[in-house]
Amino acid sequence: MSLFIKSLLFACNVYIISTFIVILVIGIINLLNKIIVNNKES
Amino acid sequence: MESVLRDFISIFPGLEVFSQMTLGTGLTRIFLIFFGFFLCYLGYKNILEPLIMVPMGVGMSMVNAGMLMMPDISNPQVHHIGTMFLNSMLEKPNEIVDAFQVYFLQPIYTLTFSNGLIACLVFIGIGCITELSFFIANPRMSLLLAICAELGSILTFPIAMSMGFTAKQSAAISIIGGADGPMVLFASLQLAKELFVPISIVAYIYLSIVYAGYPYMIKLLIPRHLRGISMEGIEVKEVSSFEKIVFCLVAGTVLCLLFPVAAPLFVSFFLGVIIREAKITRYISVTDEVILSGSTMFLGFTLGCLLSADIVVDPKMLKMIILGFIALFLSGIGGLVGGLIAYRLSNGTINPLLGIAGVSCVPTTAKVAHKCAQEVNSSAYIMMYAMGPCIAGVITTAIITACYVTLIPKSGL
Repeated sequence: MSLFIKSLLFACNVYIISTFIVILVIGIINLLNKIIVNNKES
Repeated sequence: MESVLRDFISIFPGLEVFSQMTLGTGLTRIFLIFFGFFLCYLGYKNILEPLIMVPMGVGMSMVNAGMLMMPDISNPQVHHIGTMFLNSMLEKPNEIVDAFQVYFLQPIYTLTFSNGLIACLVFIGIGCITELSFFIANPRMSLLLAICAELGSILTFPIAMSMGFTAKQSAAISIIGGADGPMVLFASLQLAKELFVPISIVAYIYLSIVYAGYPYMIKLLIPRHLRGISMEGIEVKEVSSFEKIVFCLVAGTVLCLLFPVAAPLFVSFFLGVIIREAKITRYISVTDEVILSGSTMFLGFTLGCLLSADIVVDPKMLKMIILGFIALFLSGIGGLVGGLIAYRLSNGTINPLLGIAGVSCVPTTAKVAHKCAQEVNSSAYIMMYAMGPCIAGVITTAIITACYVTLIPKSGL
C-alpha cells in the first residue's frame, strides 16, 4: 500500500476518534444541562 | 582603495560578517530585514494582527542585522556567525546554563518555549477572555461545525507525508489547519522539535493573514443572500456561571483522563475560563493584562528573533509554506461546507458563515464571519452565535492534537 493511502487512512482514523470524543463532550454538556436545569426546577 | 574599504568595514563587526557570508545568505538576510519592516508596518496599519506582527517584525529585522562572530559555547576557540539574541541549537544542560550568561533572550526561550509553557500561558489568557454561553447553549451545532472545520488538520497529514516529512513532522504541520497558535507551538514541541521554529513562524504569519484572506473565500463560496441571514429566530438560552464552571471541571477532567499528553493545554484553557466565571477580579486583571499581553508580546518577539537567514534558506521551509496554506485553505472549505449543512438542517435559520468561525483562531474567525454578514445585512449581528463554533474549534483542535500525539508512536508510520 502506498504511503499516501496509509497515512490518509491513519488521518481518517484520527478524525473518527476525534469525532467520538466530540460526541462525548456534547453528551457531557447535555447531561450537565439536564442535571442543573432539573435541580433548579425542583 | 580596497584595503581602506576593508579596514573601514572591519571597524563594524556587523558589516564585516556581512562581507564574509555567501551571496545567497546575505541577500536572504537583507530580504528578512525588509520583510520585518513590512510585517511591522502591516501590524501598525491593523492589516495583520498587531499584537503579534509588530514585535515579530522588530525581532526579525534586528536579529538579521545584528550578526557577529561569536565564540562557540562548548569550544571558545572556534568562532561562528551568531547573534547576541539567543541560540536555539543548544541541547546539553551545561551549554544551556552557559548560554544564559551570553544571550539575553535565552532564559525566555529555554524556560518558556522549549517546554511549551508560553503556549499554556497564552491559553490561560484565551480562556480568561472566552465567553462559553453560546457554546454550552448549543453544543451540538458548535462542535459539529468545528469538527467540519478540522478538514485541513486531517487532509494535510497524508499530503505532508507524501512530500517527504516524517509522520511526527507531518502531524505537527497539519495542526496549522486547526488555526490555533498555541496549539501549533505545543504540537511542534511534542512531535517535531527540530521544526518548531519554522512551523511556528509559518503558522503565525498565516494566522495573521486569515483575517484578510477568508473574506474572499466566503464571497466565492457562499451566495450573497445566505451571508445576510440575521439568525434572529434563534433563542440563546441563558447559561449561569455555575453551569460554565461545572462544565469546565467535568470536561477538563475527562479530556485530561483521555489524553494526558495534552493535559497542560486543557488545564490552562479551562483554568482561564474558571477564573473568568468565578469573577475573581484580581486574577482576571492579572491574567488578561499581564499574562496574556506579556506572553503574546514575547511570543511574537522571540519568534521574530528565531527567524534568521539560515532557517529561511532551508528547502523544507518552502514545503512548509505550501502545506500551511493547504491546511488553512482546506479548513476554511470544510468550515463553510459545515456551515451550509447546518443551514440546510436548520431550515435556513443558521447563517452558513458560522462555519468559518469553526476554524477557531479565537476570536478572529468569529469577527470575519460577523464582518462578512454585516457587509450584506447591517442588522445581522452574528458575533455572539459565531463565538460558539469558534470556542468549539479550540476544543476540537486540542482533541485532534492529542490524538496525533498519542496515536502516532503506535501507528508504525
